Amino acid sequence: MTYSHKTLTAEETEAFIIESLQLSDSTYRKIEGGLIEAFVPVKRPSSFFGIEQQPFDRLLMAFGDDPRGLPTEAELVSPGSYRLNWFIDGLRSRGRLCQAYVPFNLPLSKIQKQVRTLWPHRHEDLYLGRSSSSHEFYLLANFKSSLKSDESKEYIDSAAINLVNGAIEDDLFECLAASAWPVKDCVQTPAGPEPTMTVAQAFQQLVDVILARAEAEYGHWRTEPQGRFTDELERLEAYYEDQGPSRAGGTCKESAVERQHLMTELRDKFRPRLIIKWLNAAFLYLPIVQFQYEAISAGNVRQGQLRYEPVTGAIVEMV
Amino acid sequence: MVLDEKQLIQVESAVVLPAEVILPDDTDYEFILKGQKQKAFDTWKAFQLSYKAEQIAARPGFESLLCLEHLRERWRKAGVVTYPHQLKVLRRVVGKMRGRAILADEVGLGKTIEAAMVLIEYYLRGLAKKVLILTPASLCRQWQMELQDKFGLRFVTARRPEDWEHYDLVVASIDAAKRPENAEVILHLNYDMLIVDEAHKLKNVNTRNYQLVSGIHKKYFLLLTATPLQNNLKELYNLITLLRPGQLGSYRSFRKQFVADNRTPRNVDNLKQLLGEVVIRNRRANTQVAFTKRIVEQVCVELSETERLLYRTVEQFIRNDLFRTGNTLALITLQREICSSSFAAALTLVKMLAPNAATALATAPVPATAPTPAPTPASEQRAQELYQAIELAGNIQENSKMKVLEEIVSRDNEKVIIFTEFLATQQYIMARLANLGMKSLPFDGSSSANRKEWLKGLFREHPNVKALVCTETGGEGINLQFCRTLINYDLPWNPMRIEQRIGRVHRLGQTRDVRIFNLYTKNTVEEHIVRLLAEKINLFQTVVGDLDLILDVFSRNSLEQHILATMRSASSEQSEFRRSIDAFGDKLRQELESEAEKRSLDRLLFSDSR
Repeated sequence: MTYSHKTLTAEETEAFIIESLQLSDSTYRKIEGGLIEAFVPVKRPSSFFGIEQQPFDRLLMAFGDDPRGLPTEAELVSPGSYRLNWFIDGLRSRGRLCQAYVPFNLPLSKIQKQVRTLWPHRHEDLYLGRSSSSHEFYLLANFKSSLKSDESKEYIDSAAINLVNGAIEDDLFECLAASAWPVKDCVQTPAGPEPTMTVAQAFQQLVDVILARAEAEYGHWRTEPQGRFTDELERLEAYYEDQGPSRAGGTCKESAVERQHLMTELRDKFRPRLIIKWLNAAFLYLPIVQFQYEAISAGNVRQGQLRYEPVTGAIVEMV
Repeated sequence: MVLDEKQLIQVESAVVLPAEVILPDDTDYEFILKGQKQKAFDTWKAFQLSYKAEQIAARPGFESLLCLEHLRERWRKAGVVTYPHQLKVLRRVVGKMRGRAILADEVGLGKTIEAAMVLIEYYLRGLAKKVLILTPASLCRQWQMELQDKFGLRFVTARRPEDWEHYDLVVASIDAAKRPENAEVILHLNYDMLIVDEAHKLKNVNTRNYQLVSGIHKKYFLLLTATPLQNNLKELYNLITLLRPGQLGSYRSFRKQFVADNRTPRNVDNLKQLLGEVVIRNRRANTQVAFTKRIVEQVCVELSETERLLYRTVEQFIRNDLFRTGNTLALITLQREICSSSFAAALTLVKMLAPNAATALATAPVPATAPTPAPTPASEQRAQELYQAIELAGNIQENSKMKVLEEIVSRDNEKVIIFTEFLATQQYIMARLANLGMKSLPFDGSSSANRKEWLKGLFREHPNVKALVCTETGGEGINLQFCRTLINYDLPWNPMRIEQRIGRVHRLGQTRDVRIFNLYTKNTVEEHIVRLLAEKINLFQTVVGDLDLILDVFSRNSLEQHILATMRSASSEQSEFRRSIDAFGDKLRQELESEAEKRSLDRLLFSDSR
């Protein structure tokens, strides 16, 4: 799942700040005029453009597009503002690694109903038989991809891998956010099959997935700066060819040195770079249910075993 | 096989840029493994919120500008207002021009702000980490303050060779940068961005300035000038070629294609198009910038009998001394002081009488045996004149100008900025205001930058502080647009400095009409100067965009020198003085008209720059 930049609304910004305050166990309250007063224990504020130099512990934050009429001591928290970046910086030290699971707490009849609803072969009647359930081990990781040349673009990308069967889940994080199944922190891991790959191998596979996605989605990250570089280079060459070896009384050698200098400048400016940075990771234990089934259509009976992943809603017929 | 030069160029041109991919390294999954082993887990909630934070912080491509969002709250608090033309410049420079441009807006449209916004846009994206700003020495501090106050960037003024490498954000005077010991270091560094202010000074390829700037390794490059085209097309060619070599081809082909003669272009449409790719020139008339009015009041002050006598005595002394000593600098200062206040003049008179008087007071008496130079009739005459002037000055307890000042200051509750050129006058004004129960703050060159900032804040915020009394040096580089009343207690004889004074309050961001009071004393040289500037040149009412024309003409014709020459040659009759200043004014007027005509070339080439 890739994320493109979006400007937060005032309401979204406020919600984000409240979540951050709750996470840091800070005391806060909403006060008149849509302001939030918060008491944040800060010993040494991290500096972003060096605005705040002295320690403080009381924040009076306002949100909205129209700052008129704000009390003078209030500060407007908006996308790109110092205070929002301050919270973001703080959050970077949190949530780098977590371990969570999705409890399997629905009655079997409801699960069966879900499977029948999601069964892809609509013309078949599905009969579910014996079932077994367990938790499988996933690694979910988030990355920041930066495309840089003479311009830059960043986006956040996420991918997950099942360490038992090696399947890549493109949208797991999104599914978890949208799913009715709650995610709970865990220290003891739920029982399930043994992984068939190491965490290091799984991580490497996720990096490969992210890289492949970047290449597929932003294939022009190499070609566009290269095109601009070639244009600039051609202009420069025409210039030096037309004026001959020297300019303004300079020698041939000086001219060559100058040309080389300018070419190096251009290379440095347009050189394309793709930087993938790991942000955070989660060890997840997600419920899996397996059923024996019979599918009947026009007198034909198919029998087999299916695997149902309640979080993603995926049904896989197993050979 | 040995390649010849042409083949080498072809090989180089075929170079494909090496694409670089940087992936997470071993430390990342080692961190994960270690965390797993030690069960050092944060909560799922923290994981989600941290992801959300990264989503918010992710910087999009140039289709969305970051700097406006980033600076919104800072600008709200600092009262900075941006104009549509400035945002257009930002979009065009980072979008189409790929960070290389000549920003050539007319004076007063905020080129510094535009350049700084471009800088911030690249800085926030990590594309400009090492930045050098080269300016004339007099503007270094102003750049530093603007970048700190309005953009939150702390630039260091580099002076020593080690500074250039040590600091990433550097502002420096071009004169300091080109010193051999500094230039050597600078030319070996890789700058992400280079900004050169007053770039019209880089029009000659043979100067050290041009060669230094050309030799600096930079990715993004901004040249700032209000006058991209001053004298001839070759200078314009040089400036464009410095920014983007080859944009106008070689000089040979440029001349062939575009030059009829040095000041007349041909193929104007083609040339305009090429210039439009690298030059952005906004004119006041085409922007939404509406400067508030300047309401100027020339306040004539009638001297008292004693003051008039002192003025005549001092003026006569100056005329005599011009022939006796030829010490023009001291005498011109004295002439300006006597126009300012009797107290300022008195100090100088005492120093002239006994140059060592001040130090002698603090040291042991000279031994009796020390040889004393025998007095000559001329030196006795000089001393006699000085004694007489000092005695007259000593008898003056208050200046007529001060009474007028008190009356203006007491008119309403507005805060006022009072400018004087002299410390003695500054102290006198403050003492008198204090007598009236009005608090005032001194602002002069001796204050540190931090103290100046503190004083500025105190003046703005404290309801009881009525006035800021500034000397020339104190006023440099400070912006006081929260105030609208400026009093020139005395007038500098250099219009550039007058404009700098007015520019402290009358600038982008000033929301109210600005009131300027020029105090001048009747029947003195001050009266002639005010008449020249206000009536002949119309300096005070000129729209900001046209001021550079006036200042240009004055830079070639020193008013100070003209006054001195008049004092040497003319009699003490004020009518003669007046005629001389009037003639000077007519000459300036003519030059202004001719200069305005010359600038039609600028309008021809940059009129539709988009």
